[in-house]
Amino acid sequence: MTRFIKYLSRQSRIFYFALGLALIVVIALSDYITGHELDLSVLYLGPVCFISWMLGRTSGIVFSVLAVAAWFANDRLTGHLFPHAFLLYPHSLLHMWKALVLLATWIIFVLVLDKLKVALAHADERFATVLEGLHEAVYVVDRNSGELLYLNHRCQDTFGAGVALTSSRQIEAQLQPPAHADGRGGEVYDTAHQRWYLFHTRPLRWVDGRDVRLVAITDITDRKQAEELSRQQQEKLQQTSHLITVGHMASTLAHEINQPLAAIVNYTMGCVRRMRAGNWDAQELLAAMEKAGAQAERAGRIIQRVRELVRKREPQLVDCDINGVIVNAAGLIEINAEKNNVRIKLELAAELPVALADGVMFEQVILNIARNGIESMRETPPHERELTMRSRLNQGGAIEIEIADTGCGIPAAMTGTSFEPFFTTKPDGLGMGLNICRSIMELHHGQLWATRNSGRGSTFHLALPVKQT
Amino acid sequence: MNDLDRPLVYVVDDDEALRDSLRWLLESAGHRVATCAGAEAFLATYAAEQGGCLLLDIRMPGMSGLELQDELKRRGHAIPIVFITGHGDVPMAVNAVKKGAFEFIEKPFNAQALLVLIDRALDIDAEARRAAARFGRLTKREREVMDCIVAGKRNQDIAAELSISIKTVEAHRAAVMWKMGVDSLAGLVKLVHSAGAPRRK
Repeated sequence: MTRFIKYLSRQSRIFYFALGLALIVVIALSDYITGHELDLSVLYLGPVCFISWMLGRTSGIVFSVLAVAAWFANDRLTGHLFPHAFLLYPHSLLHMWKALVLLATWIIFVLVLDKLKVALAHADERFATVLEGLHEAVYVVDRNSGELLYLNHRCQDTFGAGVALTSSRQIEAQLQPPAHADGRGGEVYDTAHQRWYLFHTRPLRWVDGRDVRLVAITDITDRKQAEELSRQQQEKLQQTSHLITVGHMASTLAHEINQPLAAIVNYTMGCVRRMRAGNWDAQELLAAMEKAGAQAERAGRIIQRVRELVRKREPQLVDCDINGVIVNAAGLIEINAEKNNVRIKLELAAELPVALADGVMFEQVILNIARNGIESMRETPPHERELTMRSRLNQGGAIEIEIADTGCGIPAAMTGTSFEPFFTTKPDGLGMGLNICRSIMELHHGQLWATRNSGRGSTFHLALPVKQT
Repeated sequence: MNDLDRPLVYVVDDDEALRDSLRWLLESAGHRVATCAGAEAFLATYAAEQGGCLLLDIRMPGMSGLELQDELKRRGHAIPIVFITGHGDVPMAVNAVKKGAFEFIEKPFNAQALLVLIDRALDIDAEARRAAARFGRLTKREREVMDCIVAGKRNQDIAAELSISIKTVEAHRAAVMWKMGVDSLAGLVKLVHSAGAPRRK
C-alpha cells in the first residue's frame, strides 16, 4: 500500500488529471448501469478529493463541476429510460437543487482539503526550514537497513558528490563515524577533503515506529584551524614577548654591566697610579688585579644572559585607548588564566581620556604583570584565584591601572617603586620582568609600583599621564 | 697634619665591588676613604664636623641617592655630593645637580676625571668650612650687617632696618671685612656663597 502511494506521488499532473477523469467516467457508467434507485453520487467525492489533493483547489473545483455534470446528465438519461424516475423529482428545479447541493458539498470538501494541505505543508516547511538552515549535515537512517529516511541539503551537498544519497553507507564510506559517537560527539578527520567533522548521533523512534538514528555532522575544520591559529599566535606572542623582554633586558643589563666595568676601571687605574708613583706593594697590587679579574668575569656572566638578545625596539608613543589595551591583554592572558583556574575580572572606567603610549609595549607590561599575578596564585585555593584589572582616572589626573591578584604576595621590600633586578619568586625566573616593566613605564613618563593587599596577594599599579591637548 | 684631620671621601654604593674598587682608586690618589653600603649606613656614621665629600650612587635599594641628598639638606649638612649615575639616569642626575649636588659622573667613568672631580669637591668643602669658621668669629650683629651687605643694601638702609646709626653700620662693616679676610664686596659675596648653608635665617 505504501508502495502504491509512493508510486502515485511520483507521477505527473497529466497522469493525475487523466486518472481523475477516468474515475469519474467509471463512476458515471456504474451509476448509469445501476439505475437511479441506487444513488452513487457519494462516490464522486473520491476523484474530486484525489484531484484537489494532488492538483490543488482550482482543479478540485473543476472536477467538482465535472462530477456534478456527470451525475446530473446521468440522472437525466436514466430518467428518460425509466420515466417513473420523474416521481423522484416532481419538478426539474428540485433536480437542479440537488445538483447544486452536491456541488456545494464537494466544493466545501475541496476547500477544506486545500486548507489542510497548506497547513500540513507549512508544518513540514517549518521543520524543513530549521533542518535546512542548520550548518550541520543532518540525516536520519534506518538502524537495520541503512536506508536514509531524511537528509538535509547540506548533507546531500557535502557527501553526495553529485549522486543522490539513499543509504548511510554512502556517507560512511567517506567518513568512519567514531564508534562511541552515540550521544557524545566524536571527531573525525576526512583525509580526502582534509576536513574535520564532529559526529553527534542519537537513537530515535521514527514517525512510522521504526528504530532510526539521527546523525548530525558538524564541519569543525574552521574551529580546529582557529584553535590551531590561536595556539600558534600564543606561541608567537610568547616568542615576541620574549624578544621584547630580551630587548629591554639589554638596557637593564647595560646598566648592570656598568657595575663591574666601573670596578675594573677603578682597580686597574688604582694599580696604574700606584705603579707610576713608584709607591706600591706587590701583594696589594696582586690582590687588586685579582679583584679586577673577578669583576671581568662578573661582566661576562651578565653578558651571557644577553646572548639571545637580538633587537631593541624604540617606543612609538601614539594615541592609545588604554581600556582597549587592557581588554586585549585580558584576552591574550585568558587561556593561561583558564589553565590555572584563575578568573579574570575587569573593572574598567566607563570613559578614559586618551593617553600617549606604545600599545604593544604597554600591553606587554600588563601581560607581564598579569602573568606574574597568575603564577603567584599557584598556592591559592582555586575558588579564590582571581585577577582583577581596573582602570580609572586617579586624583592626580593620571590614568591608573591596577592589577590585583590573590597570590602569594610580595615581600615588604618590594613594595614601592624599586624592584631589585634579578629578584624573583619563580624557580625559572630571571627577576627582570618588573624592572623592564618599570623602564617601559618610565619611557611612557609613567610609574609602576606595588602594594600589598589587605587580604591575600598584591596589587601592581601603573600610572600613565593623560595626553595633553 | 694629623691623619684624622684630613678630609674624608665617603663612598656610598650598594655594589660591593664598586665600593671596594673606588676605595682602591681613591687611596691611590692619597685620599682617606670611608665606604658605606647604603644611605642609612652613611647617615649613621656621618660626622658633620669632618671635612670631606660624598661619592653617592644615585640608584640604590632602600633610601636612594636622591633621597639621601634631600635628607642631608634637611639636616643642614652641606657636604658636596658627586653622584654616580648609570645608564639612563642622566636626567635624574641633572635634576640632582639643580637641587644643589656638586656634580655627577656616569659609569663607567674615567678614573682621572673622577679624581679631578673629587679634588674639586674637597676644595669646595674646605673653602666652605674656612668660610664657616670665619662666620663663627662674627658677632650676631656683624652677621646681620653682613647679610644686609651681601643682599646689596646701602649703609643708610641697613642702619634704618637694624635701628642703629650709620656710623655703627660702617664700623660693623669694617669688622666683617677684616674677620672674613676679604677686601672687597665681591670677595665677601663669593665667600658667603661658597659657605652655602650656614646663613642666618
